[in-house]
Amino acid sequence: MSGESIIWWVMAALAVAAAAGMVTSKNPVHSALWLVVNFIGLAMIYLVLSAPMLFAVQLIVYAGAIMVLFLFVVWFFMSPRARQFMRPPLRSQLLFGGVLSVLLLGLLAYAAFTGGSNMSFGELLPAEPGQSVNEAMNLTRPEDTASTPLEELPMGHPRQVGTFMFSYHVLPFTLTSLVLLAALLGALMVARDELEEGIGNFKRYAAVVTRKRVIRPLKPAAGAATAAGADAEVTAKAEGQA
Amino acid sequence: MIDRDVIGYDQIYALGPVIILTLTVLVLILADCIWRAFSRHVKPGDVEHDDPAGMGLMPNLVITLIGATAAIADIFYLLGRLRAGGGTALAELFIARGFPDATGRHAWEAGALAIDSFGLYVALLGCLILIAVSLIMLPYLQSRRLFRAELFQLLVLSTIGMLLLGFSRDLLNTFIAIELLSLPLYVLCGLSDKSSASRESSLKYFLLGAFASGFLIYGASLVYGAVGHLNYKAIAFYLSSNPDVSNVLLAGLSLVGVGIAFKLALVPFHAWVPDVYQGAPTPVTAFMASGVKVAMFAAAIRLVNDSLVGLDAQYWRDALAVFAILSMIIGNLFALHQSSVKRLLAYSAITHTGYLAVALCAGGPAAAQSLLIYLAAYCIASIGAFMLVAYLSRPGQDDVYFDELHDLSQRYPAASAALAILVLSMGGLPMTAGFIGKLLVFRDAWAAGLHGLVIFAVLNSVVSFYFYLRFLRAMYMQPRVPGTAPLEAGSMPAAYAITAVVSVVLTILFGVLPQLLVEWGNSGVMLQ
Repeated sequence: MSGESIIWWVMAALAVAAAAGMVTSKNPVHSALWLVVNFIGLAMIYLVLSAPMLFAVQLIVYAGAIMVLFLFVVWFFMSPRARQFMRPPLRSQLLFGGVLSVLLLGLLAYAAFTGGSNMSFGELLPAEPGQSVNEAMNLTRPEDTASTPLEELPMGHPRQVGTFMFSYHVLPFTLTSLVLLAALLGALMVARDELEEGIGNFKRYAAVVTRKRVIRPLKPAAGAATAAGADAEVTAKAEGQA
Repeated sequence: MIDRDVIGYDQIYALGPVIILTLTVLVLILADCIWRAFSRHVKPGDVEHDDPAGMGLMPNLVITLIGATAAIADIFYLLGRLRAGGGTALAELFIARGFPDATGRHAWEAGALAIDSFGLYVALLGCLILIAVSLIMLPYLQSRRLFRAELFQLLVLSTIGMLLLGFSRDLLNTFIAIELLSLPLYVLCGLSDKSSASRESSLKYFLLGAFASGFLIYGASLVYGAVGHLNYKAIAFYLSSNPDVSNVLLAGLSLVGVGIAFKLALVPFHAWVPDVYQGAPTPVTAFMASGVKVAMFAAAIRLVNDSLVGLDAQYWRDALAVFAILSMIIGNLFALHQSSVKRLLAYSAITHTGYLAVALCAGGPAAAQSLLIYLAAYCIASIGAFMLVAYLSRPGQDDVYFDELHDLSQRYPAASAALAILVLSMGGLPMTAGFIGKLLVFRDAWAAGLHGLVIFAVLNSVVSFYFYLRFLRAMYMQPRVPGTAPLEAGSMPAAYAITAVVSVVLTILFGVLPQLLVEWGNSGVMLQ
């Protein structure tokens, strides 16, 4: 077993374990952190599969930016008192879902272990008999410079990725910005109600949070009555001042 | 590796309708900003107070209508150019090629987007649906006091997704177009956020839709792993050149199928439909029932005709036939005893998906044409019917129940007559457009040798008359239930009246003079 495949197996196991941890942990912050581990494992797999560009993007965009956003959202909306967000699933749901997932996993595993024999790489790999995969993917080239023609670059080289992304795939690339615009407008529409209820509401929240450090629990827990009382008191004060 | 002419910059004019609608979105956003900046309502929260008629929505509606009309004009221009050119497709954008063989000939060559007559007709339907839905949106919003300017922008964005799905011949483009189609709809379903049903509908659609998108993109990645390309023609070439199909490709294609079947609402991926259709604001439901169906069936028939042709039919046709049969049975059975009109129409939409899946099973250019005709007839009927539901329903309720329909013919004779004609067209009564659609779809499936499936579909469409006739029984034959308050819909707003008249007239016109619709569809054949 070569070093590459050892890394691959370790990272694959790590990614699967992290994914399982993400799905099963009850605290959303833990879920998000498990997801980071999963992303890192995937990134290492990309690296082993000689896709350095994807590796970097995975680490910077997913494990970096997107996870920060996730954690920010979770922390923003999660009350510290609410220890668990997820309601445990019903037993029947668990059973039914489990059976279906095992079936799907079995099918995919079967497909993966039996269907790989006649894979082609279409346009990307020149089909020359007698070439090894590494040769075909230009992975054995000693070095490349800025003047190396695109065809001779190793597959997955950033220049190749960029060329494909901004030529053949320029339309999906552009459309993604429309999808983001839709998401932005949608978020605005969903959030506007809170905006339109006035700045007063926000001020009330701010007063409560900054002066008393009271954050409303999701469910009225023990001691919620006093907290709610303090909350109302501060609200009244804030309104009086305004 | 990449030629500049491959991208087709000189043919980008063929994307005119999409570009026009994109510009419409930008103008809408700009107009919204300007209106907010210069209107006398200092705080946005005061809009409702100072503008009880909701006239602030008018500019958005007008801009949307202008944009859609311009897009339609462009579509007709492109169709004229296509006819003059005489080719199969006006333009192929973002062309990919297979390996050249010894003679330098490419094994396959196809664009990621094909601007052909099929795609242009899908685009035409999409723009017409946009016009109809934004027209009925205005009185609905006014009666519900929901003054949301963003919703027109979201509607247009969703329509852009529809247009692209009609053109797309590449799994990546298809995926992104589906996202562009659905993302605005997730939000639009939760439009009336004061009603918990609307919020529930939005959340359910979003979670399940995101899950289905996951299936689609995972399947696409497996397809890429097996074929090395996402273009439909590349998949077809791979299938025809490899006699024993790789299991990875089969797994990938079936996962893609799951993702598409979810959006089509084929049983067993239908569980979201009743709740989402019922909870969503009624014009949005009309948009989902018509626009999403058109776009997704266009995508599905493209996938079938362009890539699955090379695959042995046993791999996909049997599974699709089972889904079609299940959709017809489940849709009909659950529709029989619904008390809510919107829920009944939702189940009937599942049944219609079943009939349309019969055409998918048949495959081929003729089926694509029949599918378009069926969809056109169904869209006319369903937009009209949902519009009437929006008109009749009480402001706080957003749905009509059958015991409220009793005695309706005496108080609202025109509305009841229109509703009766439209639901009968959905059922496929002769002399209505729905009949022509059903006839063509079943004829194609019969010609493709799917006799059992066609007989089953015909039987089911007879059964479905039971619940379509319930509308007539309730409206014309049953006295009002004592103790229930009658529906007080008031006089019909102009936008509703226009939509009702147009949909009824088209339904009868196409039913009596089917050659209009058939010729229209004939020119929409997907030539290969």
